[in-house]
Amino acid sequence: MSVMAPPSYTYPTVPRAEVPGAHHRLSPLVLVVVGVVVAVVIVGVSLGAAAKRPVPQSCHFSCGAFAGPRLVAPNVYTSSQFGYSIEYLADSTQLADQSATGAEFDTDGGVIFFDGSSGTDVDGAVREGVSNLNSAVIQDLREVGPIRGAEIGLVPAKGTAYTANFVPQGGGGAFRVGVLVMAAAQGGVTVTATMISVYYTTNDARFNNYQPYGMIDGAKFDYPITSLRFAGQP
Amino acid sequence: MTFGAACRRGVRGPVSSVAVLAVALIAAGCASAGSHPGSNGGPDVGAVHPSLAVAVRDGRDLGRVPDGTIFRLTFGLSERDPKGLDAILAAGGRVTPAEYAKRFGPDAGAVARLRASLAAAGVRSSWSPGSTSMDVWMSAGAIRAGFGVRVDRFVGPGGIRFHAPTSPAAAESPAIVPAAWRPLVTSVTGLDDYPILGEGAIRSENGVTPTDMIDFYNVKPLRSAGLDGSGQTIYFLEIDRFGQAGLNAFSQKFGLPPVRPQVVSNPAWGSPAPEGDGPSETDLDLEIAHAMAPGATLVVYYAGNDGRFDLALRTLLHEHPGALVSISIGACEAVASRGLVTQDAAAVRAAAGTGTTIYVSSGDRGAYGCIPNGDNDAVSTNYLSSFPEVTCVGGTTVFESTNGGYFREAAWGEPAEQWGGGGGVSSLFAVPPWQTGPGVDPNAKGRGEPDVSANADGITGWDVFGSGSEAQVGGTSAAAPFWAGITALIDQDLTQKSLKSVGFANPDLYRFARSPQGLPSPPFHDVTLGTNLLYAATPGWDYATGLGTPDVGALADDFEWARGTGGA
Repeated sequence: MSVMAPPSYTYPTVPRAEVPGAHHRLSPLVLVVVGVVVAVVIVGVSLGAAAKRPVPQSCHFSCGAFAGPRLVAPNVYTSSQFGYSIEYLADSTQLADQSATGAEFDTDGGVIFFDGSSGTDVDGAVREGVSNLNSAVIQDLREVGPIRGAEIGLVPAKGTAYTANFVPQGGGGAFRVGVLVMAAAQGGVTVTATMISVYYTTNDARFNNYQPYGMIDGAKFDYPITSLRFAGQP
Repeated sequence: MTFGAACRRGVRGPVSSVAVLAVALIAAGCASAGSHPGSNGGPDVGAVHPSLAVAVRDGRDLGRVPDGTIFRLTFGLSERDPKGLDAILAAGGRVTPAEYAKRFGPDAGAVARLRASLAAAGVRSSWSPGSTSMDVWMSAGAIRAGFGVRVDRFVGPGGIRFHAPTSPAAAESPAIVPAAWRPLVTSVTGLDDYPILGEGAIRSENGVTPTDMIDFYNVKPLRSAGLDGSGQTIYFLEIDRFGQAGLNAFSQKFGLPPVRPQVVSNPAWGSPAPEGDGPSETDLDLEIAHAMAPGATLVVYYAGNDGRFDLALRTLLHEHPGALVSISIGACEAVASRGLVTQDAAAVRAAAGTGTTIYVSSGDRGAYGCIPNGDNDAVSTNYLSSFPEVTCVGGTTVFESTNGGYFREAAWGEPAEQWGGGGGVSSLFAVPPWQTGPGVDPNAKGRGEPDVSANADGITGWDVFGSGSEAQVGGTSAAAPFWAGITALIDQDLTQKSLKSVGFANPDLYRFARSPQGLPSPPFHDVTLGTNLLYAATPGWDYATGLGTPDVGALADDFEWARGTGGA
């Protein structure tokens, strides 16, 4: 292989503190919640890979492990009763309420509730999630359809999307919201996620709404859903 | 009472008033929220429209275009010996542009006769030897007389103004081509100026850095060996503008050398959308490619939805055989006209046959590629990424390890917002012969997508700059230029070793996945978690992530092997 002078630019590692919002990633959850497990897994995987990986006769570029920068401090809710944990983004998501079984997160696009329960009745959990909606506030619930690609913590889930009228209890006009309820089970624990967001309205400029389920800021919902780890998950 | 607490029975305790305030504000501005991307509401790159057929059906017909109006049409021209070219492509081979023109390109004599007959009728035309299409300037009256196609002006849904045949489906038929011009002329495009393209940059906030990606995908060994893409050129086809200031800010923040992309434009190709309130698609593409290959030359071909982007694409490919190209635009397969697909497919095949590498993003709506075109439910891949002779790049969500390195990866799929990496079965193209290997569906009815993947989730998007702001941007739009950037490094290495460049990558990528004897190292992270909203990531190739994401060091070793002792 050719040997050249090293490049004059070296991709300096940017201190995380200098990157606004740089903690918008999933790994802080891993860092805190299952740090020890992860470390063990990584070491194990690395050792396993090293043991199994055929050593190329001419090692040019793929020649071994590397280390990257550490991550920022995470924000995590952990269910003391069911052991699942959720990473959230403190600058855009507020842990508004929590208990041993679940938590409520508020974002500037709406709210998301997580509830844990024993068992694996996912369909029942979805039904219960829907029945838990306050009919005085969430009215005219209309089913949109099953949630495509439903998953919680990368565990396949089931769920249903709705639209509804949100009727503020303190007065003011009602407005349309999107409502998603989905549940997944792992290790004998079922987690239900209920999301309520101001509906992303259809408009002429985009012809069709970009959000089939009306989630105005779904990434803030999808982040904790993706980051959730059931007890024992790496 | 807060919004959250009010929504359910059995409130657990006191909660903040943040949500109710925010919701109230958003509710008050709901109408405007729909026309603005919001903090993560998708790209703000202009309107996205339904298919032409729907627009004509639902639009208002303003009447016939005056007969004297001249349109620039494009005639698709038939290749010779397409099976011979298929065999070369399937074997990972390539020919020179001159050889392509001589063996596979349109018959020059037949084209000359056609042009002579057009000239005799007062019709101007333009053709370059080897090109699979020909430009023709015809009046609306001549179009009606010659093709039996009437072109009217319309105002479509959303107020967009365009011209189009009054019966778009009939105008797509090859039957409109006069018998005397067949079989040389296979299709006619340019009869409408209706926009179909969209982009896929997804904004969030600040995100992963070049260092992260270099670590995650093991690019570091190449960079440490001094490879930076010098001597390589990456071409981009774009429909919005980049800003030099953003590129400068990006370079400065991440310790990269300054770069000033070259721009190629033509009024006939349309005008790129102006910079908006954050990084544009082009900002994203250029910065990611520059991050991976900071010594590479970057060239932007500007087109626009108000013009003929297909002309820009074909010009780029025809004028730069053997180029390295990154494209992060596309549309639902159903909205691409038959003529457009036919002509672009021929151009892409010719390019692949002459050693061109083309990466195209797979789209950002998971398996439901028609959402931006007004169909929330159709399972579809995307036009441009589904050409078999491009490498279709899908998307993942990357999870970092505790040391910041690669931990694991999942197929990109966000169930709440319905974003995800494009992938599925093409309705336009058959399964290509090279698409075999572990995980590939043996009963597939069409070309499977994507071929490969890279980080694309907006949650784990790139920290990029543009339009005076810094933002986290994801989407498969980020994954395609990433692959182009790392390919520039590999091409540089191969060139230094007097080996052929990567060229049309797919036959080799699938061969590597089959682990042939002597392959130095497996080049892919096989992604086996998550879905793209429909298809699950599974061991081996899958419709969510293709072959997986790269171990670039291993990939470089493998291409060196393939171009040297391991050549098929």
